[in-house]
Amino acid sequence: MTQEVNALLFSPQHPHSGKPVRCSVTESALLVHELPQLHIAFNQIKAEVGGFHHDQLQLHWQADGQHWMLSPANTQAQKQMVALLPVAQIVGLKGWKASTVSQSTVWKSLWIGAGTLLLVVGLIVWQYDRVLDWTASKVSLETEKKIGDSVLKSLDTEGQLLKEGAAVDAVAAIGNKLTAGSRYHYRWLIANDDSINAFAVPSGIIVVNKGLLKKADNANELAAVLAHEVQHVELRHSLKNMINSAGIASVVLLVLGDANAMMMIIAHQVSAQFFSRQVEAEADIKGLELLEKHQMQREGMPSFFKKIADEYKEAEKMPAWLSSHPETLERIKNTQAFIKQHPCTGCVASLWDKTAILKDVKTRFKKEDEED
Amino acid sequence: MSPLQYSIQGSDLQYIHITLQPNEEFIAEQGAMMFTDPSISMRAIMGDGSQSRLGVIGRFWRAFKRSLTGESFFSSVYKNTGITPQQIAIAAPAPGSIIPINLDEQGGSVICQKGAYLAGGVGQKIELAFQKRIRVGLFGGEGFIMQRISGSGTVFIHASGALKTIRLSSADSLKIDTGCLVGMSHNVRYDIKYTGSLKTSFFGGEGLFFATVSGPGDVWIQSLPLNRLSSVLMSAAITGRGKGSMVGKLYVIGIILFVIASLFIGEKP
Repeated sequence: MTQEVNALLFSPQHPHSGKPVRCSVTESALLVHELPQLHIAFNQIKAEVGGFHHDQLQLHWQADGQHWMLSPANTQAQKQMVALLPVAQIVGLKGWKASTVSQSTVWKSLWIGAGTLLLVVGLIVWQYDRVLDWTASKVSLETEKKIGDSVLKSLDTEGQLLKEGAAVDAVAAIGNKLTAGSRYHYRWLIANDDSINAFAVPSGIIVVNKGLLKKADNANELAAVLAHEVQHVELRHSLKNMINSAGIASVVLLVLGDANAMMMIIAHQVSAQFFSRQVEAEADIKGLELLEKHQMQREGMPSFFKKIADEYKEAEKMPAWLSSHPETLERIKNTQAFIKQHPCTGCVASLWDKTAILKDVKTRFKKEDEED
Repeated sequence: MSPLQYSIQGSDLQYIHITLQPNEEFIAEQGAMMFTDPSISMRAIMGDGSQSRLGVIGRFWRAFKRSLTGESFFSSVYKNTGITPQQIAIAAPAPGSIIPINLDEQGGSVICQKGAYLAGGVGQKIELAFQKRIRVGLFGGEGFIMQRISGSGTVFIHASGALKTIRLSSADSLKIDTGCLVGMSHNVRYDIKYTGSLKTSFFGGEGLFFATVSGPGDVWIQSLPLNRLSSVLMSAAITGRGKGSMVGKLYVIGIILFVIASLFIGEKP
């Protein structure tokens, strides 16, 4: 049973858009069921690529001094025809197959490449936190220490930082209790600044403002703030913030092709804002866990937040500490809820001598001023 | 259905003069109408008006793809609502020529350059024909997007310059300057060919590649692609802007010479 295939026959005698014919393939020749029937031996046929997309099969041959051509009528017929024809006996058929395959390979690889890129970008966006964690984990402790030291150097230019003395020792006494067993070597500093603020520099440098010491009513509150800042260091938040900003900046650069300083600043602001909310909430909860781990009372955290919220209400002006720590009321609620859910029976209050600390701070800064 | 009665008028700025029988319809691209008889009604349709099994969304998507081929999102259908034959004229949007193509003679479809379609019968589809061959898309002069016009009856395409139809047999092929190809039958193979040597490509003025087409089928070639025409007009517009520019240049040169001369004169005393 020979299979018949629909095709179009082109020759000078036929209409220029081809004559529909039926043809079949024998062991040695192509038969075109025309009147009279055409019998074309395989060794006379030359296969070529045709059509707009170069995916058509064209079979060319010479007969009676004229050029003849046959092309399958549609893609279905073309598949049948290609399956029937012997590749080895027809000139150019192997090349025809190779070129049609290579064209589809090019497009497949283009699609796969684009799809992979999209997937990778999607994955990075989706698992952004993990990507950030992973990148941060590739930064060695030495590098972090270098960063921390350089930041500290730039902060310490005016001699407004206390590095030793009774006050620093008192802060360190509470702080070191929290950081026992840490991979970081912590340094505790007091800044000559009346705003209620404390901040952490990578590699374990924690700076507490004079204003915060004044505002805190008990050592529990100081311990809570320190626990919060310690967790910023332990979780490498500022490092991740730097990576985050660098990442956003490079994306902006890639997308816009050229990023001016203004764009960079906006990108940094937006990303830092978004980043800080996550990070502060994380540092709060982890800070509470840290306090619990070291059997220290945790009530100082919500009570200190309350104090800041009141201050904000009274002054109608944002204290510096609040501006970088948004949604204070939310944080009070969250920390209170956490304490309620995780009761700590053996926790004891932290102790300090506030008047002695403040006196020490006052005299030392006065001395520095005189030296200047 | 009786064949469309039309005549193409004008030499370089052409229009089609069509006689529509009662109830006969004709589609033209947006804003191409020049004049009609009073009994011809006009309505706008999305895309080419063909139905889609996806309903409105499918038709919208088709119209969108069609708009990528340089056509407008909507087209206008003109219908003779009277009882006597009525006249309508459709004008070409730019200097050039209009060519009628009988799709039935072309095996049902032709492939044209972007924006070539001007007008045609109802039921003809204008679709996006994406150039799958990357080197042809990049260097063939027609880009990656062309349009496939399929259906039956007569379709009118338009291109700038004079339009030449060349009929290729299955043994023929032709080298064309890239950008001059307007359309071809769907059987025609379209490829590019290196001009031969670096010297030729730099100084021959034809660029690095020729477009090559091989039969069987018809190809339509334009003598002056629109971008070439517009660059000629543009440069003429710039140089022709200041008519006394030569005098102005001489004036400036005179001032410069005077300043230089005054430097030397000033040194003498």
